[in-house]
Amino acid sequence: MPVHEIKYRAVEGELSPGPFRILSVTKFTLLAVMNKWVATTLMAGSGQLLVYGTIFLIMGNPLVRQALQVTQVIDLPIPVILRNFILIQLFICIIMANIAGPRMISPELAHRALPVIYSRPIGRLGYVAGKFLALQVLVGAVSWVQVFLLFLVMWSVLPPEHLFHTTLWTQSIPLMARAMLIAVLASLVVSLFGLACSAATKNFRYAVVIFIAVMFGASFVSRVAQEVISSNMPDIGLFQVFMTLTDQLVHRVRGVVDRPVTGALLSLGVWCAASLGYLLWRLRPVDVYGE
Amino acid sequence: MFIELDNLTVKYGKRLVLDKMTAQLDGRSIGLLGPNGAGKSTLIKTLLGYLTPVSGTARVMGFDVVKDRMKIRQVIGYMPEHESYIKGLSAVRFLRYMGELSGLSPRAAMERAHEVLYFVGIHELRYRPVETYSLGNQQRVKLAQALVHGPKVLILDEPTNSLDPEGRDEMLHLVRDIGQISGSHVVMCSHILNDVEFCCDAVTVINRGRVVLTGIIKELKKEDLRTYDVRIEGDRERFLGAVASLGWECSQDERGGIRVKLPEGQETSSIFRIAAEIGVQLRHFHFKKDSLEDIFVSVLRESEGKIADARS
Repeated sequence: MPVHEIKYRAVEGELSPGPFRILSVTKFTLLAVMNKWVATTLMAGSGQLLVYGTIFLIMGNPLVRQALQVTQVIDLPIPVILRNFILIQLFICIIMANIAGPRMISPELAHRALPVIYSRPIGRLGYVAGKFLALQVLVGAVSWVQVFLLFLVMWSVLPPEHLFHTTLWTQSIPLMARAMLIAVLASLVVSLFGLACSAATKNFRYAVVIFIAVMFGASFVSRVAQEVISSNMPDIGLFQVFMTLTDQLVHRVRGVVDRPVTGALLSLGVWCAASLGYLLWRLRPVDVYGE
Repeated sequence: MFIELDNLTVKYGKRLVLDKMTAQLDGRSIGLLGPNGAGKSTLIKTLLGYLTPVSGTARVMGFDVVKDRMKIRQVIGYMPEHESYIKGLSAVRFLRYMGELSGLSPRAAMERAHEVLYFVGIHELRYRPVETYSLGNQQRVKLAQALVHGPKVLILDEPTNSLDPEGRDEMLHLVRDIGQISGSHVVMCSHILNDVEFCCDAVTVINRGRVVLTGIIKELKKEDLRTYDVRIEGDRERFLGAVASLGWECSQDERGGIRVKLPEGQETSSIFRIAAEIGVQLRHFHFKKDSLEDIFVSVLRESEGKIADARS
């Protein structure tokens, strides 16, 4: 029936279950976030995989090296490659979260769309889960997904006699698992923190500033506390925490455990709990009216 | 009954907002009236499951507001009082989003979005971002998003807020049409009594967190066959004096109208006789009929009096 002939009709048929509604939040959040320059920046960030792939092909495959007449290649140990890779990815991950995260909730707070969203059969947790998934699509793509792809690239490109293949089950896979875990933690913390900053203010520009200020502020406070009070003070800055964790990738292989990772993991737990707690508190249904 | 309230008590912190509210709301379209701070918005938030009652129960279409929040939200459509949109999203995409959140498939949500936007009269603007709309059209988008999933209960919070007279008139006709053709129950919360009278069959008045009146508007607007509204041409003071000398209740309003209450045993013709005796013309003569405003004011006065008595 043409639309102009329909006055009003009731909805018939089955309604979709809860998880699909959460995915709707994810889908429409990504559509809303993706304005021109944000999309371009994010695409550029994700395009790095192509660059890494090319470098690996050149450095890892002797035939390619021979063809390109590359004679001097520093053969870095795999843990060092992973460590450097994760640290670079962490920066990209933070930039991604800082570009996309603040745009996820702030605009909905600004024009008070949350009361009508909450009037749908989706709870606060469902809404937050949908937003988290949306940010994970972007942040996860440059963190744990990249580490996994790196593993696949190494597995397919490195020659069979390489240490990677000869110690695949004893060293390479456990190492990769640890690296994946660090990358997953990084994307988790950064996503939750990005969303918490977005929920803190109605203006996404302020959210960007809050994100940078808190992240650098925590690192600064952590450094000062370690220098002024005691060097045994736990790291609370995300950069230091991830430095500690990624260092372990190298040190564990060498049998050296210079700093326990318990403090670093605890700090990450605090970041996650504080971000999630603030997010859920800030988005209480009765508070989203902005009265 | 599509809404049942039983001793519903809701607090904001320590402040009591709904005080043992008990009512059963029935009818196709109901107007929710009350002065500022009476508890109308709190009641709506409680029905939507945003606030948890301290004690008592509330049910919407048989679902409990605490235990069955998600089921209630499937059958409710809510149009808030304030602006409500996502910047950058077009009306059709915004409605599709709301439809999918309500559980419609993407295809069904898209179809419904187009239909409902056509129904509310902004189909030609549907691909423009909502923030570029006039205030009246933004109100229509809010109404459309409340209708997109075909709710059984539609809650409209001040639907004519900040609309110009023409826009207000169109919105009222839309709301009345929805009540008549959609099969949905409509709860309209408004301060404008004429709007409620135009759109609703029944009315519920809330004051200080309690329901002080609920009923069908037609039945409430009772005709008092012993009280007459009279307008005269001639010596007003003499007429008033003559009526008062007989011991009849008599008052006059600011616009020159006179209200006369006949005592038992007196006929209507007595008023004509008095007018003839003192030589004034009766230009208007009709028995008194309460307006919704009269009902609202008298009910509020009565409830305030009861509260004052209870305190003293």
